[in-house]
Amino acid sequence: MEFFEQPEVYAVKHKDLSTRMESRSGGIFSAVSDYVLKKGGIVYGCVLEKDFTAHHFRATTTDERNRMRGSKYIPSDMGDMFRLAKQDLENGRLVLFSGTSCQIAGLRSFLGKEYDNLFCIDIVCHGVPSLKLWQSYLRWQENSHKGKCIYVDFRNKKDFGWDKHIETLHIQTPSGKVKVVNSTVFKTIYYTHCALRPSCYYCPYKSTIHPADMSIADYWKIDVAAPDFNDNKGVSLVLLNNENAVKMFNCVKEVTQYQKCRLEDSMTLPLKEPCKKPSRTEQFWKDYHSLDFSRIASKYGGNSVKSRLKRFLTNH
Amino acid sequence: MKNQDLRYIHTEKSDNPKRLPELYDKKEHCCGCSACYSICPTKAIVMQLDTDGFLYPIVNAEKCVRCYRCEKVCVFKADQKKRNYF
Repeated sequence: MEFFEQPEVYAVKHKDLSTRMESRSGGIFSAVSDYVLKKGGIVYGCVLEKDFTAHHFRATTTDERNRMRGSKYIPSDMGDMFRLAKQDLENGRLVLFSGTSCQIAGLRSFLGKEYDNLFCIDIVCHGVPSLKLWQSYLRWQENSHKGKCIYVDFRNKKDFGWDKHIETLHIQTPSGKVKVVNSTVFKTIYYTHCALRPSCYYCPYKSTIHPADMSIADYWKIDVAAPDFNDNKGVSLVLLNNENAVKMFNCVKEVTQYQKCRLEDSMTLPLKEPCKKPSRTEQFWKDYHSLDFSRIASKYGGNSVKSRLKRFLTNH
Repeated sequence: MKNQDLRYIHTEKSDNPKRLPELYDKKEHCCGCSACYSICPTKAIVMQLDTDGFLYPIVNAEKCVRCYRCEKVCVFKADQKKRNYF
């Protein structure tokens, strides 16, 4: 399959608002995966497990697929999904495989040949943070609120809008009461870029050339690329990287509102280069392994008394 | 490399004179995609969390038949080289 020198770019919103609200951005993954499932195909993607770790999963129904929607700011364990996908492909099933760019590149290399019945989607990713960091954060929130976490939304779009980045946890106390905890500590640590996987600082897929047929992301430059399109409920940036993707987009575009955009109006850092490794990364890991998590939250998560007071004063 | 962050296990149980596959020398070279794990014909590779909380492949020297398919399948390192990162 020949890849385009530069992708075709679209801003996309699913016509069904509830689908869009259940999705991280504009619902393009739902549109494509609905089409694949309707054709009797199989959808591979990342789901959040009950223990709040992330795994890749094989879905054959809409309910199973629904678990793949929404963003997870943690790495996904691939398990045996490459082998299962190969079996499905060999059996002639239509397969949609979604993941990070490095996962898609890995899958293609593992398969070792092209399959007409394979369609790949990668997310334009910033880099994946440590799973242990996420788990330390969860335990810290559970201990602070004296209960057990029963629900996680890494990025609560329904309550705060598409552009905000607030994580919401539901923590159930032993008496059965559920506390809703809205926080920015984990995302703040994430955006320090200190806790990313070492290889993410040297990611070869941080460009407009991607290993998947279609690349999808939050359309952060929407107000430049298509100003009238933004209603703060989520818009997908969709990159069509080859003819396969153009064909697929033609099959699904009727369930969406879409607008063709210019690549140069759509550029964000991950489409240019990897995150730089911060100079305090070594210090971060030293601190992470030796300090209590409350100190990490304060030093790297914007949870010091000073920054909490500042936030309180700005909000009141 | 830290002691806990193993790249091989059961080296003492293997008498195969051929070298073991090298999946990465620095951690920056491994994205954890699991292609090497998936392609191994003897399931000699496991993906395990390191001390910082990232999955890396570990080769079981006793099970490894030295076919090096795991080295060949690694496209991440090859693509890093193409971008002149190393």
